[in-house]
Amino acid sequence: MELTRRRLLSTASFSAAVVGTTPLLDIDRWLAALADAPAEVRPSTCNGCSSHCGMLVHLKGGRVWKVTGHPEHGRSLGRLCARAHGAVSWLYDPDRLAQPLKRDGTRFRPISWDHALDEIAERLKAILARHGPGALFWSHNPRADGVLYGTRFMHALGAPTIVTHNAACNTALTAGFGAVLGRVPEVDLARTRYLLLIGRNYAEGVRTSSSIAMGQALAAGAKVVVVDPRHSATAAIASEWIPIRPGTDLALVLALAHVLITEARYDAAFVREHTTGFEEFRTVALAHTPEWAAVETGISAATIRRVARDLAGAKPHCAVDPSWKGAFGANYLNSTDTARAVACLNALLGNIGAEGGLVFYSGPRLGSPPAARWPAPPRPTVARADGAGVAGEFPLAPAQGVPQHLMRKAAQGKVKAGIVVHHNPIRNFPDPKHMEAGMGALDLLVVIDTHLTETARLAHYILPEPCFLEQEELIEGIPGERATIAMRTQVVPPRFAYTKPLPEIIEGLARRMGIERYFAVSLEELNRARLAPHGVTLEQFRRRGSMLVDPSTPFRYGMRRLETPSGKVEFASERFARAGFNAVPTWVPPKVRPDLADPKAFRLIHGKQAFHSHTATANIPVLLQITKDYGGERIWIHPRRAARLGISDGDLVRVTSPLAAQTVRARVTHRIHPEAAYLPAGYGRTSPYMRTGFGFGISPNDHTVADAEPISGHAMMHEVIVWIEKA
Amino acid sequence: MISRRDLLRAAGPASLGLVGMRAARAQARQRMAILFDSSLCLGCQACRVACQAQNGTGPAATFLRLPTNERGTYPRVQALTRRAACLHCGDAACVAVCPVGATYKGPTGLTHVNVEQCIECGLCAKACPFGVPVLRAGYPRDRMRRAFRCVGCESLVNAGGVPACVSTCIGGALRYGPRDQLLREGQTRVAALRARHPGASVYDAPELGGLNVLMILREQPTTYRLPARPQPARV
Repeated sequence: MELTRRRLLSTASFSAAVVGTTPLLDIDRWLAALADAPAEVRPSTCNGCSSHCGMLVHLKGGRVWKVTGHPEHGRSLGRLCARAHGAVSWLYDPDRLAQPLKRDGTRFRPISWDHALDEIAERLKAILARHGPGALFWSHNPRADGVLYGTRFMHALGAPTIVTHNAACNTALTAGFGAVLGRVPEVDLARTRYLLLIGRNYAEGVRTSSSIAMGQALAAGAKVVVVDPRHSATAAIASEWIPIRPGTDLALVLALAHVLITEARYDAAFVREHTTGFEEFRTVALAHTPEWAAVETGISAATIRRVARDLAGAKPHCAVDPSWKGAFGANYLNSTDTARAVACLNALLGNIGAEGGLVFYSGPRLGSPPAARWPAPPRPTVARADGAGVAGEFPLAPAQGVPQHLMRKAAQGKVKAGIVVHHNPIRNFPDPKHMEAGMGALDLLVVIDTHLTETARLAHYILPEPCFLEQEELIEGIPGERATIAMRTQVVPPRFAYTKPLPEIIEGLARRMGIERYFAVSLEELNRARLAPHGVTLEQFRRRGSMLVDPSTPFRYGMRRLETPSGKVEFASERFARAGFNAVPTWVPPKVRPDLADPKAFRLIHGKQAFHSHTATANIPVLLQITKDYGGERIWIHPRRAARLGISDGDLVRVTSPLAAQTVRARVTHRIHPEAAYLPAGYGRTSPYMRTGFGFGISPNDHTVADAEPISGHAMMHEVIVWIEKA
Repeated sequence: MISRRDLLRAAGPASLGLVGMRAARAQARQRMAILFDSSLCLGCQACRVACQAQNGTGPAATFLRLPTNERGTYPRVQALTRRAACLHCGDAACVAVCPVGATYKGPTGLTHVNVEQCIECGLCAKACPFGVPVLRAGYPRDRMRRAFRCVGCESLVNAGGVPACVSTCIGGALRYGPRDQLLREGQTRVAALRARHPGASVYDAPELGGLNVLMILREQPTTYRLPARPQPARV
């Protein structure tokens, strides 16, 4: 790389600290010397989303210049998405938190780490003594270190309530697929011949390796059919787009099963050998004809029959994608049953474990320190405060938890303290006022983050973490046909002296709480132990960053014992029946529907864009500029609906619901179902301490009622009607 | 001021180092190209952001745009995305008209720009058959309205590497390699696409000496707002 002076000036605005350390006082001589310096490359992992792709960080003069994909990482495969290129600028973000802060009335004041940890520990001890360990929760968007240190810390205190963002993402999927197949499989994407995507949007809900694999499948001639109320970027390159009335995916899936069964196109041998409860499912499927589903979904019976026959023709090298959030991760009252029905539909195709079907991968072997020095704390015995797994509340909710229900309890004074890590539930769950009421009612809220987010604004203490490029983290294992072992390394020294990595914060709190025996092993020792089975030293691995190894259970095609109670595919679930729900998935209408006679009424749906992660990246200038260049914050409305309301493309419109009234520009487009309005979900930051994203665009969460679906406790993110008119 | 890039050009391949020199020589005989397959483009913008980092254009300005053209009516609708950036013409009008040699061809056949030499005359912008170069102060800390356009990742490709947009592409829509080979592969892909898209083609422009950014289009070029028969403009 040759660097000219002007390129240097353009690529890097060097910090005063770097300039100060150079012995050369003449700026031209200094830049000339720097131009001749080779770019240094250090491996780490991305934090642009929770996929944590392997990345190679290229530095010039100690400053991060660019990133490229780590070739030996199962999720990046040598490539990186837009968010990764953008996320490195967090390092130099002027909005970063530089020191611990303590609430003082309506303001925050700096506080030393020792004082902060002393005070937090004292207040925690008092709350636990008075209210018991059920009054404390931990809330995070899981990273490897958060999972290990958070769980250990909470369990050591006897506290069971650990919640994640998943109730706003994929909890219905986890519960539904868990019931039928034991856990959520992955699609053997690159080898599939027919892929039915119900809401899954590989082009915009990006995991790099999956996008690469879908491109390979398309290039190899696979048929990819997208069912979505919106013509997504995936639909734009797919073989076919089938628009569906939002919230009726379950009707489609039941009718597809109906066709496979009535036309004897399902894999009868697979069903006989590897499943239980088929008769019960068959009875339900027979009651849901394509003609009935056509009325619910708006998809013709002929199209439903054709898709079912095409799927059957490609079986078992075909898949109905489990997705992440997609259409049934956390969207509708019927989403858990939709997820179950999708799992059942795949089983009818006999594709479980099949090439080009649904596959289960194992992670790598990771070593652990000797148990004598690293004792596991006992499992908590009190009930979870969020009701997950609790009889009478959400008995079937996965361990991911029900944060919005937790906040209701907090507002009622039943939960007293919370630790929120690397996570912004107030912005990322429906109805911020509901979430604020819960967070605001706590006696103690500690937020550990890099930025002063909407959630951090309500904290009693804000503890700043270093940027992900500034800290070594716990080694991570990632499942795959080849498994990945990867580590976030310290690429650059911390910019701010008064930031602390999560393990240090937790160790500090643990010492003060008297539970330090569970933290006697350092992060470095943990990492050495994790690597031990692979004959690589930590010193070597810091330079390598990531490697592909054999998974703990070698991957092969074919059906294995599943993690269900029977070890087989369970069309009918005893657990569901015992908890008072239907044993087999059956039709449940969505919770709300727009009044079709009301020209202003729309169901508000939302989704991801490839260049943003939730709302976390709205504060990154290089990514927000993409949104600005393409009008990416606009609300999508069908031309016929828009014409009736006198709305033209680009007009400012008012979006009203019982919760809020906001304005945003309209995108009038044929790419949306007439009953739906689509709003990208990455905007509407309300924390003024995140200056790039603040006040830009609106969020669907401002209009959605806080609620929890009764089976898995997910947030029903698309159960919201709004009224749209010209502003 | 003599920049490092001037020095490199004056000294010739000797200063590239042994590996770089070998790569440069090997490639001098081979015309390279970028193949953009619009039928696989996710519109994810990874190329744009990777380019901005590689070439230091800052957050506000980009060499790469991916405009999407909507066609048809619900539910039979198409969204056609193209790469709107320099197509690296074989006979590049921008190179021919540049009075100071700031825009020039490299050994791979890609067009490069030494922005420091640009004198803001705007002839390249007028000559380009696709209207790609614009005069703007697109580089941070530079107030001059220079020719702002894809610079062909000169340092990467001359060292035998791959342009930043291509190496990061997560959809399999961008590839870089010998032009002859990519043209053949593009035609194979087009043959497969024609079953569903009879108007599919590889967008090349023999009139312009062929393009070094070859685009696989599913529909007629004009539906992507590309000229069917691009002509070099008279300046």
